[in-house]
Amino acid sequence: MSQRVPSAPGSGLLWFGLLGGAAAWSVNFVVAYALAESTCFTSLREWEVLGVRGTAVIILVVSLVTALVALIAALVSWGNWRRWRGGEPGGAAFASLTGLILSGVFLFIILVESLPVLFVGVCS
Amino acid sequence: MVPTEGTTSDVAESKEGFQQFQKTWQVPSGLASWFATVNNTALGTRYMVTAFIFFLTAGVMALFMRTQLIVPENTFLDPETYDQLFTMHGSTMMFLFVIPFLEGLANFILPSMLGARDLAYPRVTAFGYWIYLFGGLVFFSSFLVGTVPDTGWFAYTPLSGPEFAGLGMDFWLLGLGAIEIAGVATGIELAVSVLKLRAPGMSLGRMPLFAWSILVTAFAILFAFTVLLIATLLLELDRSVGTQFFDPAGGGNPLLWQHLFWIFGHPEVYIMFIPATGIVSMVVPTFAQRPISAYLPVVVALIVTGFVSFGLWVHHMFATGVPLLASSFFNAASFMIALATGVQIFAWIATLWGTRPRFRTPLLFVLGFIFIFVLGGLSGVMVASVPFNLQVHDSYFIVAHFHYVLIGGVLFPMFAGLYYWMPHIAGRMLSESLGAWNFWLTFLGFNLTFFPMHISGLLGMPRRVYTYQPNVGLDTTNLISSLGAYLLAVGFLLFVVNFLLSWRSGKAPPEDPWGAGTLEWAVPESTPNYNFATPPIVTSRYPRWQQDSLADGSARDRRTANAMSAAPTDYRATLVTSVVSADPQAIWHLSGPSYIPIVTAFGLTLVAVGPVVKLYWLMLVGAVLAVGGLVAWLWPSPAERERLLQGELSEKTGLPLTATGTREPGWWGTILFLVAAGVVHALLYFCYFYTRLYSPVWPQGGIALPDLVLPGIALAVLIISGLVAGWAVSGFRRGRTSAARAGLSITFVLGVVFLGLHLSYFLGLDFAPQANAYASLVFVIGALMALTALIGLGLVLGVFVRALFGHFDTENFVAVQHAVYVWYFVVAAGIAVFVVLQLSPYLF
Repeated sequence: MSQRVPSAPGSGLLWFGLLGGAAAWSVNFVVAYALAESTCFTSLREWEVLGVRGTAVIILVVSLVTALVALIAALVSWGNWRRWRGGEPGGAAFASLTGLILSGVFLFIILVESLPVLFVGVCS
Repeated sequence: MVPTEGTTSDVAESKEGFQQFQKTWQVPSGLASWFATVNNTALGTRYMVTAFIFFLTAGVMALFMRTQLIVPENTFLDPETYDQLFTMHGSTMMFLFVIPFLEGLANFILPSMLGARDLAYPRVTAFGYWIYLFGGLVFFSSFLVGTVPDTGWFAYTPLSGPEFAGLGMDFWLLGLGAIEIAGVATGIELAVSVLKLRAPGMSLGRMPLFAWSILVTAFAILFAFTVLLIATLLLELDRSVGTQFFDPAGGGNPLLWQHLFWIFGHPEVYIMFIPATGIVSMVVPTFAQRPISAYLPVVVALIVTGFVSFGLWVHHMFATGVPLLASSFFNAASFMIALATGVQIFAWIATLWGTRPRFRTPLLFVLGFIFIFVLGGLSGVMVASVPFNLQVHDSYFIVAHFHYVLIGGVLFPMFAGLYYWMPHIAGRMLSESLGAWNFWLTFLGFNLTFFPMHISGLLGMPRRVYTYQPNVGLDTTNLISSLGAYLLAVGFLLFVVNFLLSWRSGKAPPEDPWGAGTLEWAVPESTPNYNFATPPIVTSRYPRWQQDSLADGSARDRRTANAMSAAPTDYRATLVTSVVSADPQAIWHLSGPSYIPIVTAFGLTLVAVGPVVKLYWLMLVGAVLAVGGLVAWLWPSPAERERLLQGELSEKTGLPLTATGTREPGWWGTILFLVAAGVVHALLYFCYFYTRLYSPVWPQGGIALPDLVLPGIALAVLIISGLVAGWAVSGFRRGRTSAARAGLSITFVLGVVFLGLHLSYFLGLDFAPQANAYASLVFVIGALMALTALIGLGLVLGVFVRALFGHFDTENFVAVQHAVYVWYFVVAAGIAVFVVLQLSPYLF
């Protein structure tokens, strides 16, 4: 026979806080690499925005957006941690704190991995 | 006070009940013990022994190579044999030894470490072992046909293509495919076991770090091994059918193979490294006799490593002409991952700092690991830099680097783990004095072998050369490397001697040999097959150090544990707990001994091997065995169904026997299987767009733009079938069983119509898959879609027939839900295939 067992309150937010930064990094990486690999072989090569190669602008914009998502994930985790830190140790509070640090790390990685766009030409 | 497993007075109210419980869990005898056992300890041991035999075989190959290189212009081996040896040495170590060994170790020790009775899917454990063994035999059967692969362990095209590589390459590819299936199956099982089968109270923050490492590794396997499965399939199609995926003359791209291989290959080395760090994180606290420092940063480091390892692969391809900006991203990521690893190293050093560690053999190997791996990591950040990489690419510097990180970073922790957990594995302590000799000879031998290779490489010695000229500065370094290799071999041999001597006449271990803090040491060294008759209750990270009893906890947890004490008695079961907090959620029925896994594994192997040896009837036999095995696997016996209706244990524990959704391990298994299937599909779409990127004209070869009408109709039928499937599930939920059955039958019929339309479209195309790379991709994506639909149809038909037999009611229709999830995946895949194949050529 089946019984309903209630899940932790706001578990969607818990998981977003935990893995949102990693997901943002993944998106940033896939988009940046796909553009960097493909630009020189497509018509994107000729596209410029204010004198800067259009692809570089897109990569920077995507990096900023994904960095923002990672930051939001960190803030959500911080809020989760504040809400659950008095509860059972090792559970939701631990997951929230892990998410806070993880999101911060991925935010850093997104920013570091975006730096080459500022120094290396798109079709060097 | 160090708590142990609950005493007999806690365990069962009647002696008879406990005896029945033990009988339910006992390993079968006779033939069944060899071929039908599903116990994690027996199978874990087999994995490790089989993998170790492959390790010794590959080690002997290495000795042959070093003998050839001991002096310049040596004639001990001819160049062809040398090429075969470096190929099989690398392939055996990377595919047949390291990961199977670590998976075997995880299979063995994880349930007791988590407080569970077994892994989540015991028949999958068995299936994984058998298909690994059969795949390994297929892999090595190239020696029997006299054409051993000689293309290097990463088999770059076109050297591994039909023009240059013989039949042995096909055995290599197919054997690898089987081994990867084993890896993915085991990965799914390990992930679900860690997430859902932990003891009550073992929340995420109290989980042993080895369990965290296995969890991260298991998810990485899902995304990495599936890539290699597809890559080997595509190469085999090029070789056997004449497709053009990797042949530039046919519009294909040899660099595509490199991308596919390294998208797998780089995460693979972290799939090896991460469990090794998990072992270290278990050994260090024990020998420092204190909890690990910086537990949370180590968890973060493991997760970061798991993710970022997928962003490094192009650093193996810096010399192939990849655009510099793209290379720079991978350069940056390769620096970042070193930071994550550094966090773990500092955590281990901090744990040991200020203590008086006991320098027993496991800790010696850990200290050796730290020394060697840090050196390997230093050369790693050097080769991560594009300019330096371009200078040392394909030189012995690279050989030195990866042996430092793999032997230092993986093999040394493996030995540490073997010495540490041997009391459980073999019921013996290994000799400490032989262990010390083992360590020192291995450590010295390793450094003598591989450190000079840094110098050889910087002096310009390329890798994979069977000889070198005299008096160009390479004589001394190669001589030292070869002598070091012999010393290293003696070191490894000492382990074998130690093991054999201890097994034959070694001391039985004391009750608590190391004074460790984690749960697996609460199980007696004789390790009963069920690990814990009474589920332990966990309220700390190191229960044996920080808890007075494994029976104290919340009232709910105590009630659950007492009710599960030596229960149930007539079938195998373990507790299911929630992912974050490990609150008890359900009772999970585990399968007992069965021949189904070996039959299914054998059938799949025959299906793969038949075409290569041109015995097509073998394929048919194999298909019958495999499909029959799967049907028997998924169809529950009357006894199994009867158990689900029993209410006594459910009432005592307050937990359901048939949970649904995320509370049920089957749900997780289905979802993770679909994730792996999604990776397979996504990868083929990547191949399509990558090939398109480098093609001046698309479609290639004058092929017309694809038709939209027939595929569009097929897609519409498929989408409608998905809606009907959802309606069918809701019918079961609302108790309208007849309508639900009708819904399943309509779903099946619409699915068959879709498949028919889909196949008629592809069979009606006016080009063959061998025409060019575009044609090859169209047909392989179409074939994958057909296979996906076929699997979905099989599952829908299966649950429809079960529904006719009255297997489902309002509260029990989990199998229907899972079949419909698979069908939703089929619909999603159909939409994706339509967008990629039919629409995208019109859009850009």
